[in-house]
Amino acid sequence: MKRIKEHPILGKEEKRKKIKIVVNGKNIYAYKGETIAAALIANGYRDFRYTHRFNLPRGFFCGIGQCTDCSMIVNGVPNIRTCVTRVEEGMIIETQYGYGDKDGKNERS
Amino acid sequence: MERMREVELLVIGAGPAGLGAAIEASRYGVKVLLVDDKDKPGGQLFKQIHKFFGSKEHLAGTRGFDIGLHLLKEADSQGVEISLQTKVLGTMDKDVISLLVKEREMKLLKAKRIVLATGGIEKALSFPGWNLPGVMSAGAAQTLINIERVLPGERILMVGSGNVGLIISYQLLQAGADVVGIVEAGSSITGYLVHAGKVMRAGVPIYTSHTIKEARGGKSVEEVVITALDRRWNPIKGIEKTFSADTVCISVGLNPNGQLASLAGCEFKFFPELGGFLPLHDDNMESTKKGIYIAGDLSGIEEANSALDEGRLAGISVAASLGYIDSNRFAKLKEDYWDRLNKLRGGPFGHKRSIAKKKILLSSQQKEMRYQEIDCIELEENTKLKNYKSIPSLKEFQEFPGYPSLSRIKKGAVACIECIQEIPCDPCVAACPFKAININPYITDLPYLDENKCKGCGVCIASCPGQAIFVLNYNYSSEKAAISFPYEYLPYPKIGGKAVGVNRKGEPVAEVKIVKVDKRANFDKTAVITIACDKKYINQIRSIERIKDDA
Ligand SMILES: Cc1cc2nc3c(=O)[nH]c(=O)nc-3n(C[C@H](O)[C@H](O)[C@H](O)COP(=O)(O)OP(=O)(O)OC[C@H]3O[C@@H](n4cnc5c(N)ncnc54)[C@H](O)[C@@H]3O)c2cc1C
Ligand code: SF4
Ligand code: SF4
Ligand code: FES
Repeated sequence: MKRIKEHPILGKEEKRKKIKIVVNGKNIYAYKGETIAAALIANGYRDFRYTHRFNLPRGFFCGIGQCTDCSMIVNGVPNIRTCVTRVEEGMIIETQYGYGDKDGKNERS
Repeated sequence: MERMREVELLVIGAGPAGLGAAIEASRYGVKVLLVDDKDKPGGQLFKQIHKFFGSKEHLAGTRGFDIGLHLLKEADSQGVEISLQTKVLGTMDKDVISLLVKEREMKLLKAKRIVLATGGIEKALSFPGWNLPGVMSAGAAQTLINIERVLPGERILMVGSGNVGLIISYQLLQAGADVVGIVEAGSSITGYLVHAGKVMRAGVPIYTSHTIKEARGGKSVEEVVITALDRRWNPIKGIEKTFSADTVCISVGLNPNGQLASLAGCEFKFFPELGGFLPLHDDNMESTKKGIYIAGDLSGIEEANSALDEGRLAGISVAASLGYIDSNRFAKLKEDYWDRLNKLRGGPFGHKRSIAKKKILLSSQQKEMRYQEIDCIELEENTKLKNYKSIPSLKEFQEFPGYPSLSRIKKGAVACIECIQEIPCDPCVAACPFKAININPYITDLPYLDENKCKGCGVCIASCPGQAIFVLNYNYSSEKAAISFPYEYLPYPKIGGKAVGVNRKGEPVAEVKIVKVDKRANFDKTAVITIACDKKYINQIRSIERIKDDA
């Protein structure tokens, strides 16, 4: 999707520091201070995790840390709610399959 | 062991209700700790980039986030201590409160009084495909566009035509997305007509008696199917429409966020008009648990102004209960707040809420009753809310006191106020330098235009949060009339250029010429555009098609 560079009410996008994050092995740019979910959606990612039993995609839903649909593996830790976690330089983010913790590995059912 | 910290007042939730409570209690000398689980204060306010309704005391006509800033300043000057990223987990026993700070650190706290202002929670809706990526709550989409400045998608279907659905649809358009439609299961638009008017002029269709049937797609939404409903909300077979869309926003109402109140043992009751189960309270905003007060969306889903006033009322009640305000003074202050709250709940939209609130007070079984059962019954009989399935016809608008007469229109520039529902709003009155607009005696009364006093100066246009005021100048030139209207989209049209003039439903009427784009600073980001068109369109054209290409 895209970032809103100019806005009739909010004005021009504020200059923010660009940082690098790694999503499923690929480098992408994010802005300091934004949530992981926002950075991902801005870069066209929408399926954040796949469910344990039926392997169905889930993504950003409630946006306030309540539904856990946006959980991903962040720096090796599964079940991180990306809508309430802000990006940090060099963060490693992976799609989560199932509970993301089988033998410490991300299972793909 | 470290001694447990004890505060006089703990306020939970830093939205308008919590801020109001903290500010007022502090003003009278109470030591207040205000906590919120988010990393920024303001609750819902900072997502609200539109101009708010209300009266002067409520800063009506000011954008939500500016109201938020104003309240934060007030809290700061009153010396309110705010602790963010602090989630209240519950009350362990009578007065030990457990807090989780930054998701890691547990803290215990004692408080002499508590104000719960935990807001509301958006309702979900289940349909095939509801959990596909791309389906999200409308509030989540609003956070993305207005806080994160990222578009959730390019083609969006909104489910629900309440004020939240209408406002967020409008904001999605402002952010640059297309809204393919708004579906509403009920037979008429449930939000304010002026909000519906904004999106309809922008060409967004509102499908009443329709709901979403399915969202389809592989990894995320690609297509949506909507279906018509009969009067019992059963799908009518065969009346379906399929749209290509990448996002579905759900806006089907909020429930009071009562977790903490229920853990604390407050008594709840079901009030559908106010969003569902909610804690009972008396006319001091005290719940059935002594020392625990509630305010805002938690005590019934309403809007920011009433949340703020309920919060302020809870704040002074706490101050009085701790001996900071004497009883005479308190009685007077309390009357003022009830007066304000009752005015906000006046008019047909506030009517059901008003009755429900009265029932809450009744069931809290206070000795000193503010209302008698009989009042509620009388009120119920007076309910009269005119609902609209779509934008009313010109003829209907002309029947209202804001529409100038034909003879006045022919005399030259005059305001045309298309605000025909009794909503709690009045900034247009103060905006007019010639006192040509009146709303009397209640804030929920309709605006009345004194067409002989009106000079057609157009100052009122940008002041109206409903974007319902236009200026019609029949005598712009010998062949052309000019029409001025509010406009909040980018890019702005160019003076001298051509545009497509549209009617109240966003349907193209005729090619028009842009003669003025007024962006003066005190219009606060609402541009006022003036177009010239054939005189015969004076009662039809109300906006222009949004300009898609930045070229
Ligand atoms: C899209 C939209 C448009 C709106 N437009 C208008 C409008 O034009 N005019 C108007 O008057 N009103 C409007 N409103 C309504 C208004 O925003 C709400 O009624 C108002 O914000 C309610 O205030 P509140 O303080 O009760 O709750 P909130 O503003 O929701 O604040 C509650 C706060 O409590 C925090 N919290 C909850 N639980 C805990 C916990 N356990 N520990 C710590 N903190 C917690 C939450 O994180 C939140 O910050 C709109 C609402 C929406 C969603
Ligand atoms: S156009 Fe000018 S004079 Fe007429 S109502 Fe509006 S502000 Fe008043
Ligand atoms: S016309 Fe007046 S009362 Fe109606 S929405 Fe506009 S400012 Fe509010
Ligand atoms: S989107 Fe619901 S928890 Fe993140």
